[in-house]
Amino acid sequence: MANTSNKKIQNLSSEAQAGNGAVKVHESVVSSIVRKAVLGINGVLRFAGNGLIDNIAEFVGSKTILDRAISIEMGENSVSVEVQIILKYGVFIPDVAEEVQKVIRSQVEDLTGFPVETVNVVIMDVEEVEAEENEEESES
Amino acid sequence: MNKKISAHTAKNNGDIRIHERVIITIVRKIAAGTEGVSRISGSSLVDNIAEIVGSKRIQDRAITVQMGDSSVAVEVAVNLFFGYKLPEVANALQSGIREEIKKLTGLDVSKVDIIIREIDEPVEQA
Repeated sequence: MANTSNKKIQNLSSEAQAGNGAVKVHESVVSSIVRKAVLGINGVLRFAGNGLIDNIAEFVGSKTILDRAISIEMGENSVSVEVQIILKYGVFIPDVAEEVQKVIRSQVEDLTGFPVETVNVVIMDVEEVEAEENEEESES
Repeated sequence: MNKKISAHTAKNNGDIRIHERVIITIVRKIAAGTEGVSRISGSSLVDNIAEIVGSKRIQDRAITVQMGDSSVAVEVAVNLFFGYKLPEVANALQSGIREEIKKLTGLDVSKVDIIIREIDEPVEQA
């Protein structure tokens, strides 16, 4: 993402500024809220990522995986989100995708007070979930 | 980014996009379950290894997808088992693929081109 570092921290509200002082929210906070909200949705398996590279990245403590699958744009008065996810094989994709949009919007607005302008959802793939066995791509 | 997607614009502000990989996965699953189909052309042990390390490129060559705004065109190259009537298997593949894509994505399928590459001998049961 080409955001400069001061764009990553967003003023929560101008009311806070007028009264007690500014409240600033870092973009990674929004990212965490989005991540938790999306993973709780029925039909969503995980965020998209490059399996092998992501496992290495995670091993060395880098958060790059999530950065690719979740993009946050902090605007002047609102936030926009884009997520790349993988769903379970068999669900009706448009419904789950719409649910993801709604949940992201409501969770981010609810927890940050920040209006959400756009939520883009990209379904990158679907995977079958075996009851007992693991799928070919390892998940952490 | 050269991402092939189909755009659905949802009522809430924002796009819902389906990557062509979703369509490819669906095509593979239906082909595997269609009677008379031995495999997607080109797939073999090497491809299975490629799949394990996360590269789906080899099988992707046998399956091509064109994503329009609200419809999809598919081409799939398959090997059939000896003994099956080719038009019947091809028809079963076409309708199976069309139905499953519509059922899971809501997308209409404008066409399913089937290429029958080879005939495989059935696997010997030991």
